[in-house]
Amino acid sequence: MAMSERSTSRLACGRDIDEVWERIESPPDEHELECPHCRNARSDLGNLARLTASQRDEERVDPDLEPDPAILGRIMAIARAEVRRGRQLPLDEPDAEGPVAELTVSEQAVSASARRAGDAVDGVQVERCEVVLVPGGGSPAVSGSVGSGPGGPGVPESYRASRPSIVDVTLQVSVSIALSIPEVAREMRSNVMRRVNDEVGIDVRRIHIDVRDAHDD
Amino acid sequence: MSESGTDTDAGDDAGHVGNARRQVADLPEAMIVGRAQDGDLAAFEELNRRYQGPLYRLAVRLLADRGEAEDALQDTMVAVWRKLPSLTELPAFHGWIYQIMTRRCMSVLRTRARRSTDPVDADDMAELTGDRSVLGNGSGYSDPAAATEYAEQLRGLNEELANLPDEQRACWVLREFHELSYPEIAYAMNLPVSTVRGRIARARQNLARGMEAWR
Repeated sequence: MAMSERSTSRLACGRDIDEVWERIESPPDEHELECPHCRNARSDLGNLARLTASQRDEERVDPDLEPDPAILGRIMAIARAEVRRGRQLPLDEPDAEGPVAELTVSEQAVSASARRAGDAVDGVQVERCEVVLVPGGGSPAVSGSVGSGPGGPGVPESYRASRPSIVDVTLQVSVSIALSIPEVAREMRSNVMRRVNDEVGIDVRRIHIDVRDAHDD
Repeated sequence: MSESGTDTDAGDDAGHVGNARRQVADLPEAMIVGRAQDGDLAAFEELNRRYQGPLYRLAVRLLADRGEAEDALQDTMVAVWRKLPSLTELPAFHGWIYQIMTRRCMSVLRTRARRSTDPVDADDMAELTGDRSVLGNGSGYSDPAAATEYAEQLRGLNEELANLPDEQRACWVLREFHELSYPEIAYAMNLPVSTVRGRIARARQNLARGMEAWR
């Protein structure tokens, strides 16, 4: 075959073999019909292209080439364990003399609850959710950044909290183009306030809704 | 460290996860990535469900060893979870996750080469990815002779693939089986795009030549 002896990918006729390959699924063009080098290359590559496509399609649905389901379990267990090391927010009102707030809730739990509350509103897709402890709101300000993602700062050693935490929540959302944003925002605010309070027992002071995108339904 | 607080959110996902998963699965991928980046476990689980099959098949193809492919998958997904906060372009997730898996596999292959233990074994590969899949589901041929020939040719393709040098095989598989773009493959392989183009052309040439013996 023409290309076997060549170190470059150019055929004797000057056409690049890449080009022949890119066009392999289409009918031959005028040059390819006439040119013996291209005809040869097309016939050699055509067989390879067909086999490659078959192999690709078959292994995509081959149950034997799916990983053991236990692996997903192990991965999720690690992810869950690492989330738990995320920041903890003081939850309980400790007694006045007590130096340490014993009951805490993870930021992750607060943002998961806020996300669910946002998702429950028709036509809303919540992309990001950030939870910020209000300094001096319920407990002393806590140093460190306030990201709630994995790998966030560790648990502060202690909280000298005097009251339950108050947080601000920021939701970045996409809203259906069919809906009015002020109405959706109102519904989201009341939903998030209520559900975060019900589910994790933390008060939400302010909810920022950042409409980043609009989508078709 | 106060461990006493961990029980407060123990029930966090219980009872919500099923519902959350259904909702999450309907979202566009960039949005799921954004939520996983925030630490949303349901979103991360959905990303696992979408990518575990393709990534595992890639690893089997590159490493020809199921156990090692499973380890590579687990390492990759845990790395994804840890590194997600550093990903700035959410739509680039696809190329990014392939990059993590590909580099993981290439590193396993380099370690093997250094120890000069068995390279990818063509017979193992044919057994892992070859005729087994062909015989089960229909090859589209009603004529048994044609079906046999087809099965034989696929076996040939798998053997020829296994015989390619590692970098050629990786570039070819990423392009033809996983349909990554040249820039995505260049990123995954840590090679210039021109080199990737060359490796793929060389792989194609070697495969086409090798397949002549199977016709």
